Amino acid sequence: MSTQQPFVTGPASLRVQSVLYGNDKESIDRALENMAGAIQLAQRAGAITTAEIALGDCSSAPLFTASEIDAREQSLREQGLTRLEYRFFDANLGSAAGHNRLSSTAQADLLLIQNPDIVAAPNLLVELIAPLRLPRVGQVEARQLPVEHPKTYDVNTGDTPWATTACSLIPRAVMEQLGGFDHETFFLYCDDVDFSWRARLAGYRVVFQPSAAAVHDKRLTPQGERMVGAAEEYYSAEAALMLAHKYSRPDMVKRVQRQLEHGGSDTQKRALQTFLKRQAEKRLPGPIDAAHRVAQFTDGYYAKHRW
Amino acid sequence: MTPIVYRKPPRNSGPAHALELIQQLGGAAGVLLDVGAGLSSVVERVTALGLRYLAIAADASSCAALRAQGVECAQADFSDARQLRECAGGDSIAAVSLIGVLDQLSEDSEVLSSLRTLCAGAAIPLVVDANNALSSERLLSLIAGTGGQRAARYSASALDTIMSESGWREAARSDQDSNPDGEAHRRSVVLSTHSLLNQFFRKIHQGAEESANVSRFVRAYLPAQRKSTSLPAEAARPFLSIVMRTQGRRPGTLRDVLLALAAQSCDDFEVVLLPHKVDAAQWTAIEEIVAEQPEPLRERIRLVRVEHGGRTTPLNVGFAESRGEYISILDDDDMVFCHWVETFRKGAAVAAGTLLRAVAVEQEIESREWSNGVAGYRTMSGFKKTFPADYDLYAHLTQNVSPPVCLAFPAAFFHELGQRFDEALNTCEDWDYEMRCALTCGVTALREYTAIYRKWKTGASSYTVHPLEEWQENDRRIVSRLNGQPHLFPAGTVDVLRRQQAWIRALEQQNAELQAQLHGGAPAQRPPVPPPGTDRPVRYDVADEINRVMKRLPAVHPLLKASLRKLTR
Repeated sequence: MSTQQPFVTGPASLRVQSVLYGNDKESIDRALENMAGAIQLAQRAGAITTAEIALGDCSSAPLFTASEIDAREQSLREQGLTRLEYRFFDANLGSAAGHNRLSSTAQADLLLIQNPDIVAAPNLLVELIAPLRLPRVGQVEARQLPVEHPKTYDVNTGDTPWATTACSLIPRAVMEQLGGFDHETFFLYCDDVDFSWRARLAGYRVVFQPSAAAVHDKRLTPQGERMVGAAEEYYSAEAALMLAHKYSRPDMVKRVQRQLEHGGSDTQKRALQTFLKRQAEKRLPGPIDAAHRVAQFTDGYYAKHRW
Repeated sequence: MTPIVYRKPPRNSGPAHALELIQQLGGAAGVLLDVGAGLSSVVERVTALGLRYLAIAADASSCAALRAQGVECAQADFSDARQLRECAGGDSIAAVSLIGVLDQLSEDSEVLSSLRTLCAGAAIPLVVDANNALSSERLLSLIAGTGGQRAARYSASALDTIMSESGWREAARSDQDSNPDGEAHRRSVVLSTHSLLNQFFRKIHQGAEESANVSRFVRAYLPAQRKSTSLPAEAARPFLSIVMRTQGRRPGTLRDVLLALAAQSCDDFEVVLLPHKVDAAQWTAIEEIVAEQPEPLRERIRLVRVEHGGRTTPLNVGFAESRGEYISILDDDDMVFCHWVETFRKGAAVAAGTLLRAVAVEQEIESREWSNGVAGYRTMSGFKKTFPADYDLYAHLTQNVSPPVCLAFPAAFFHELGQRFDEALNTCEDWDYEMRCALTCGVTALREYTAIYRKWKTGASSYTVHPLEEWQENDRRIVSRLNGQPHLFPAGTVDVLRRQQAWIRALEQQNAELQAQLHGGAPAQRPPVPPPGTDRPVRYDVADEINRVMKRLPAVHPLLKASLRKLTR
């Protein structure tokens, strides 16, 4: 499809998909309930036609039984949901592979990729869909609450260097054109950075939509700092090396490597070892964006931050 | 019929107040039917009003005794309106009095109902009196164990209830105030109005009980419709009532804060949303935002429109509407984390009745219209730790560092102790209320970051709407009131004051030595005096050095920076 044609010209079908890992039912139910409200409002506004929710469970044991899913689907149908799909993967695939597997069976026009505990504002879908009526827009990102992402965006157009998939709306055609997320390279973090950069390389705009809000349950430590779990510490260190390599920045690979070697935690040093091992085994992705058209490495981030 | 139990009333029970009301409402002719003969000692003063005095006694011996004193008296069953009417003979009844009787009756409602039957046709006034069961004097005497209390069955609200249920509406009152004087008051630290204990009790009690200073209610009533004041079966109370003011100008932040409530990990709350002085379009927009909310949240939101008053008025309205055990103020531009309610509930589970204080970070925002035309905003900064994680009561006496969003007030402070927001304040109203609550209930510091206090860089806020002089004047008003009252301070206060006094003395001495050095005296040798309770660990100096180095290395990966910070924490 030409990037000049808008992906949305009338009511579109929607698939919302999330990858679960060790979540509790209560938070999933809260997310489903609020998403159903957003679906209902979007249908009333004529923004969407059918809407389904797909959950892929990477936990060690299934979170839901079939009858529990049936009960939820029955209840949510009253609010306009067409289908609630639940797949137990029986393996921890990671977010990138999990979403790829879920989207492989998708038929909907639009895919809302989001964390499983995202609580949607009632007008989330209406607001996320609006920019897709403009040419070249290939990904629209929601504003997260209560901790807003600090990366920069154009206050007039919403253009942003990359979009988090904590809550992002992507036309299925774009997902298919890009071959989904690069799950071979990214297990848990930066798969979204990579996806956005590839979308931009393909000529699409990536847009941040401040009027589309969603709560992502992040909290602060007793010291008032952002909580960083062990998984984030490991996988974001690994992803930092992978991104630098994939986007043709060997200088940055060396710099991050040095920093991790000299000041990294044990967890981060393990991530470095994994990268070096893959490098030795020639299992790293082929570098792209040699002209550095989209990739940014700024103060250890992947976009200029507003604070 | 259930027999009426009636004992003779004490004599001289404040007849002047009753006579004042009889004169006011009873007219200048006819008979005063004095049920129970409470005014028999002032017959001459009744007749001086132009009224015929007729005492009604419940038993023959009382009747005979009164007649022996030359008082005109008839015997009747107080709960029989027909008998009472017959006592008056053919004279018109100007007024009925029931003085010194109510506190003695076991079947008061039957008597009041029969009197209403007697009085209803001609709108005859009824003057009653009753001792105040909840006067400060009475309660203090009970605490002091001084005894000698007269019977008292009614508080102000209980008297209102029985009168309205019996078909009377209040027409006038001439309540008798307490007179806290006398030998017992000079001997007792509880009763003496000069003691701190007495003053503190009175301060609290006067907030809780409007009639705390009334020793005896003396009131006139006219017949009216009977009112049923029985309370409906109480619905389950939520843990937290969230009082949210909005002027309808910030639909963007209002949507956001409602979304944050939809995402709470604990849903044991209700929302009292108070649009204040909004126009029709703003009201409609607010209604639409509420209607869009998911049902579980929408059902817990009550819209209460407030058309009067200043910035503080909706708080009193909202608190009055609140049904929760605790009440929090959440403005329409605040933001909360998902465990905001849960944290308060955990705090209340271990320290019920205290003011709960979690921690907020500050974040700057500026107004900006979103692409959908809605008045939205743009976040301009990360989180700033402006507000200390620990609660320091004494520091709060000079400056408020606890925005309302991080506080939960025990509802009883408003509903039982009668503490209201000062509506004369258009700024600092939260600080005033917080300090009064802290100095009465104590504070439980929860030390958990649960909220974001938004500071507007551009756009209207209380900082831009109210001039500096108004802030300063309000500050003076609050401090002056606090300073004029006795307070409770928590355990540990003595140590705090002692440390501060010692510090002041040390600083004064250091200052004297520096002055001496400046003017040619001996040089000061001692190191600077650290402030009390702030001994600085060596690792802080190490952390400062590391931070200085890292600032010079902007390209250092943030994860590495975070790791270094952990080492120095």
